[in-house]
Amino acid sequence: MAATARWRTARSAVLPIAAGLLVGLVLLALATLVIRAAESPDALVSAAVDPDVWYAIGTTFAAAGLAVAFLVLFGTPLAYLMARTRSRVLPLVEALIDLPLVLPHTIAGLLVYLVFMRNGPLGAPFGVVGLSFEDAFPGIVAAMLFVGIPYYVDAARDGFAKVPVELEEVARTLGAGPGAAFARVALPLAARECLSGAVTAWGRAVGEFAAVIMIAYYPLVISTLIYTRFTQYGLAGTVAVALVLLAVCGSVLIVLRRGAARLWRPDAPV
Amino acid sequence: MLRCEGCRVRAGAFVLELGRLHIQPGEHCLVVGPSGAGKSLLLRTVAGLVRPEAGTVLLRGEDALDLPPEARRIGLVFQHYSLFPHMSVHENVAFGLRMRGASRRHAREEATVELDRLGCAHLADRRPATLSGGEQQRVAIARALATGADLLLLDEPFAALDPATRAACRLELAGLRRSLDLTILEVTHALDEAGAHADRIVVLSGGRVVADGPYGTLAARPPDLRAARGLGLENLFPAVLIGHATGAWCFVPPGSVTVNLPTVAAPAGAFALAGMVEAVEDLGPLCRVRLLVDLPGEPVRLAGFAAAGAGALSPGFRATAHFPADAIRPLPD
Repeated sequence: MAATARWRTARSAVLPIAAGLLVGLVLLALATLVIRAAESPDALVSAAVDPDVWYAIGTTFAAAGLAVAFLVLFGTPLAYLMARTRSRVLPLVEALIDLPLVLPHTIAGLLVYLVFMRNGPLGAPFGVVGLSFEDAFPGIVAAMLFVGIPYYVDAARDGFAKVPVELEEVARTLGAGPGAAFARVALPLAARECLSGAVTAWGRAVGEFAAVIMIAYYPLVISTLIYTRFTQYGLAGTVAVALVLLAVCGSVLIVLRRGAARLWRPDAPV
Repeated sequence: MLRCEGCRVRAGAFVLELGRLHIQPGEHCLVVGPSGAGKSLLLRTVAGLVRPEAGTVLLRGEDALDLPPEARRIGLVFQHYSLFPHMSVHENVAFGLRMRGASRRHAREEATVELDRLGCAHLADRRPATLSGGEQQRVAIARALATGADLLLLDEPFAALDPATRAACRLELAGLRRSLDLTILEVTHALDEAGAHADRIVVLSGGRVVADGPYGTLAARPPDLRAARGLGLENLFPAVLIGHATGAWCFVPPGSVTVNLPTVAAPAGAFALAGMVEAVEDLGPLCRVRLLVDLPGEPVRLAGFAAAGAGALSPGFRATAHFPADAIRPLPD
């Protein structure tokens, strides 16, 4: 009995400690950054009003937003097909979609560069219509799009997979065409996962560095700005900028996540 | 109403072959058979969700082979009703009308009429997740009928209901069928009380129609072993009958079997099988008795009837089943 009680006590203590370790690590990193930044309040103020910082934030958010828009536009039909199709090539497609997850992001950037460089298979035709990707905003969008594919497509596919196919079949017999059955039944029921995937992909895009730098060092985004400041000015010239960027990005991500979790509960009982 | 001729439908490695299946207008046809017999595939074929690779499907006399589901004017109700969880009951019922171009106001009015017909008007603003099984079933039927469908396809619609609700829903469906002149094609894996409401039973086994006819006829004289098993009949025995070239199985209708105390002598010319009473079900003036028969090999169970008040017929006691020789029906494999 005593041994059982001791085991219960140990178990009840071990779980919170194990769970708290990772949270503690993140908190420790944030606290260290705040303390270092607070040592130089003037640098913090100047970073907060630095136009380069806000330009990088604007560029990052715009590129990440555009990348996620493309992901939603092209990734949603793909995710739906993956959830509904039973094909022998499906595992291959799934592996291709998840490839950016396991690739070092420098390689992901290299792949993006190879495709979108001036004489690349997509870079060349886009160049004809005046769209350049190297060291340009579209290059940042392409890199963010590439690394965000698995985050959005996997989440959306899981969302569609949990919608029983019978719901769409009933919708068809009630008069809905395939498009209407998708738009009125499958999409609303998978929307929560799609939104969640989009927010995660956006977060991943905002934080992307290696893939971006391979194709577009300029214009500077948040990650490349921090890298530049660090290589130019060292730690002292970086922590204040990092804290400002962290505060803005963290706030936006929290708002988006809470929004995705709260605003869309289509199957909640009334 | 529906004519399937020579239809062959493939779903992976499974093939459903419908040589000839005709459903008359106003008919209630019940499709029974074991799991994996192709019952649901048959419904999905009629609904237009699956296209046969061969054969013809005529709906209301017109070729429907290439008609998409939305153009077939049929209602489909699944076992778990498949109500749209993100819509209210009212929106569910109005969905089909809206898809067919009705204005929001007209769809709402028509949905209200349909809900009222099914006694569900008070549920209009509720979400499906808050409804009981019986309520969901009524709403699903209201939704299927709201678009003016005259052919209802039901995929085990009563399986998830308790017996009392199931019986009530069956009566309601029978009333709707009469008042709206509906044709019903219903799939079930257990006949239970469904047989009494249907005009016809189609037995599917291994993707083929193995029997087709009124329940009384099929239950009394199943054409073969697969049909008997598909109908869920009791009293199927492996046996070699002298004088019958085919069939190593036979069927004895439970109504022909009388269960007696072991001391009761068999009537002249009757067969007698002794065994142990397994279960006794009191039906009023009669008892339905299930006997584990003393035969070597696999356990053989025999269902029959005994007069009520035969106190000694209790589980665990010995008894003897008597049945006339002409009650034994040989079953071809």
